[in-house]
Amino acid sequence: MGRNCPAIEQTRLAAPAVPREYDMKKLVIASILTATLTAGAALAASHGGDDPIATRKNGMQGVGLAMGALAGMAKGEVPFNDKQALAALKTMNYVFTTFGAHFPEGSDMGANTTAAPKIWEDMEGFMAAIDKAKMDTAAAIEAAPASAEALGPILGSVGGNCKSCHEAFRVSN
Amino acid sequence: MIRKLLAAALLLGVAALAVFWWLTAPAALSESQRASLTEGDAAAGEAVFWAGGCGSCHAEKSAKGDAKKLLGGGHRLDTPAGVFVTPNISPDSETGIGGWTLDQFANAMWNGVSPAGRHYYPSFPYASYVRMTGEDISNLFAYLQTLEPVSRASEPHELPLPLKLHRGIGLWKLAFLDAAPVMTGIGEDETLLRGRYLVEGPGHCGECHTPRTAFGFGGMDKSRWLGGGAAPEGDGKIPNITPHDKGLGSWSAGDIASYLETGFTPEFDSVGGSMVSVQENMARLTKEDRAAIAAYLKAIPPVGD
Repeated sequence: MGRNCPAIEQTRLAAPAVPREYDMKKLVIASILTATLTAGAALAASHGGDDPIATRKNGMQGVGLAMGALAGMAKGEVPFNDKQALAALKTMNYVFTTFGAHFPEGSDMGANTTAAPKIWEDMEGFMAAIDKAKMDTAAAIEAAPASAEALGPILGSVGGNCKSCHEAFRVSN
Repeated sequence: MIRKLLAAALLLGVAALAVFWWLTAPAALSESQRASLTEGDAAAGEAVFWAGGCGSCHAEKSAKGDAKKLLGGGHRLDTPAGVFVTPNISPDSETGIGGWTLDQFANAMWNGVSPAGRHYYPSFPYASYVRMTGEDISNLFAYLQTLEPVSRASEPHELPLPLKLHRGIGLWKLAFLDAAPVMTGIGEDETLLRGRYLVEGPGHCGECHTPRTAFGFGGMDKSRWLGGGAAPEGDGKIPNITPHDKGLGSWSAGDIASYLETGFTPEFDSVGGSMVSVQENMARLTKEDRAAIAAYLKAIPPVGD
């Protein structure tokens, strides 16, 4: 068909100029997601290990990277990609699923933890906050955002959870 | 001889007390202060309300959205000096400021003096509000009067005895209350001047982000302006927000403005602690005002360790 239709052939030949930039962006997202998933894997590997502070820090780092990937798409800095958006949401959801297990008694004493004493004073409230983050990311996965615009309200609710939990349960060092 | 000495001591004591009383007398509005007040535009006052962050201390702790406009007070600030309990500043005529005049409000904001002529403790950040314009004070007062009244009696602060002698605050004011701008050398650029006004005046950023002199009981240490320090409440530290490696050195002005709008750092960590409420106020400002704050924070001298 191509041989009989030079216009299409030309389009095909001209195409790589645009995708090259696109590929760069894809690479950026891919590397972000790789980092995210690595963080998730690190979390999984150290789940139940003897350094809860390092474990939860890795988890939060993974959530931050996933958040960065989603925000980049929402702001139009990188092109929207439904699979990668979903992967970022799943990474967050995965971290929240196990996050509450890494706050044993005494793990408020680490040299460089920013976990607030309030976590242990109000463990129930803390667990409820984590649960809300888990449920909201699960709902976002269920909704399967199909455009950059659809990410806006998701980032609003997920980002609001980051802030309200850090407001109550984290100290600055 | 002894009687004479005693009489002299007594006389000296009385004289010292008289001088103390005279020096620490709560101020009234000055002529120039009163002259700068205006009619008051409630709609324009809303922007001043968010810039000033009234709701972060006078509404319920962690209040969100419109709940921040219910200014019944009762928020406990647990500091090394004692517990300060914020008063009701809703327009309730019995328990709030519904019966106040603009002059009384302005005297509170600028001079830290109550309608009854008593000094307020500087936990109420009049040491920053003293730099606000008469127009903004008037607009804010008009706006506050449009909010929903909350009936809730204000409670006394819980302070150790020496600090209960509020007349002593008069000395603190003599030493530390100053309406002059802190950063005098930033030039005439309009954006920078707007940023300076917002940060040093209504935004009162320095109240937490600048360490204090006199073992934490003094004024803001202008030689370490916005250099961070111990948190005035509870645990932890308040970050350095000067353009230093230990502060916001690696952030662009755009990063700062974006943080104030969204609550996320360039690394997508989120705002936390008492800054959450402040950031959510900043998100209500205009884009231009956030950019002005960011430009000012990039223009001030870096403060290291």
